[in-house]
Amino acid sequence: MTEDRKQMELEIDACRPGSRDADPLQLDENGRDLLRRSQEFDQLVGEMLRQGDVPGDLEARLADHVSAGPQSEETRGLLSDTVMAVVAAEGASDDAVAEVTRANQSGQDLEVPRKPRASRRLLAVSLGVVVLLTLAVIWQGAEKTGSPYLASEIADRAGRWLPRLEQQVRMPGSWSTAMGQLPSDYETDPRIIPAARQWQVFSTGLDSRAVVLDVSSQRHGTVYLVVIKTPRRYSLPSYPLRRLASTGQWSLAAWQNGDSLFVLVGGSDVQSLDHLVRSPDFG
Amino acid sequence: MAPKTPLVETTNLAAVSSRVQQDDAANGENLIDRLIHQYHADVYRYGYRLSGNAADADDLAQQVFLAAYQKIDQLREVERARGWLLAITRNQFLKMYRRRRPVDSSSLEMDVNQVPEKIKKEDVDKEQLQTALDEMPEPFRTVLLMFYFEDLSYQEIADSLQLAIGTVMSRLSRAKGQLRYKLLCSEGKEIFPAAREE
Repeated sequence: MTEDRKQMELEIDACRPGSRDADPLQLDENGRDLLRRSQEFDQLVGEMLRQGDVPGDLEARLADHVSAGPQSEETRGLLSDTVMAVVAAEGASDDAVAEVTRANQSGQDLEVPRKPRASRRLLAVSLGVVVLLTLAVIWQGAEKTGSPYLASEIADRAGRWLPRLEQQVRMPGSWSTAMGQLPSDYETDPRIIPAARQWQVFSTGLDSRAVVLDVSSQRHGTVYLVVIKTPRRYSLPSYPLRRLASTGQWSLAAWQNGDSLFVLVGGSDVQSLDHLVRSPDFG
Repeated sequence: MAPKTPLVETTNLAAVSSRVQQDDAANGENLIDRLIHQYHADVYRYGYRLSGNAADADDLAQQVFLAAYQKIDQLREVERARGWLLAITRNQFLKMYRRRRPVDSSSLEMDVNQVPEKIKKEDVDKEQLQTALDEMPEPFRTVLLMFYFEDLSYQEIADSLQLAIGTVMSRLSRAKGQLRYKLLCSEGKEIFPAAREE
């Protein structure tokens, strides 16, 4: 292939379908034919890439997540760094809020004595802040002293992410069978009898990167073990398992060992989950 | 230029400031709700294409909209919101989720001149498309998705990734070559001229 031809193919490959990218190119008939074929392929691939199933509850969960705000300093730092790296969408802002802000910055309407009503409002806000700070200190103290959270909270939360789990485990390509690549912190509890066959990352709201292990087997049916890392302490046993709930289709059980919280999701009969656990070795 | 109308009658700076903050917050919340409604699917799909993993796509979408909410004041033109959100998605992916994955060592490619005359939608398998992306080295995949999904020109890709234009053109061409090979020339589809191996 000649250098000229190679260069022409590079330039054709760089042209977006439906754009004017190809206008400056000086193509002969053969080149125009290549461009047409290339763009037909690009059009098709582009459309396919922009399609795909989206979890039905995603919009609601995103709205909840955003309204809850950042969870930690770590998250805040991370987001800030990320956005700083983004090309900012520049442009004039003509909305009323910006006008008011600019008016303030330019010094209009300044230096007017504070009215008693405003002072009262300031006092009320200050008192509110003090109360909130006090509550935060009490809450943090309670957490540090290790008051455990109720196990029922796990059942509530699991009830919220179960539909997403159901959807996610069915998505092609979402599982990894490379068990050697499973992070060691997220390994199965050795007291669970069926071995994990495959795994995938999952978000539970307690920890952004929990892992779901597929411990299904012919003998025990479809069973998933969700391994969550959390500093929270729940009133759960350290030995599997505590039965939590049954949704009709799924039964849930959980236990916690250090910062590893295990949630077992199995068949409709919650008692069947007991059969998944190795008997304690008293020898 | 139209004369500015007074937007606030009060002359109390504290009250004005408080109102601005409240309005800012309210406007930000309204806008982020609109952005979530309009673009959550695009962001999720882009996250999925980049990461090849539904859980990562889900996490990415959460992080992207949280970041967008916190920096909503950076968005001056709502018409550019999609591009802004997709750029955040990509940056977040590159920062947090890029990891070494096994890639297809054969790296077979199909030149543009080997693309058949007519391609039907049925000729391209959806799952094969994602598999082809997953097997692609990350630098190729990122450039390819910026081209197809973000609809960026090679110049814009080069600027955004701070790469030389030649590097972008070469990566894009090779990525497209690999994609063409895997979609049009792999198992059972060897009806097209032989592909080249690098």
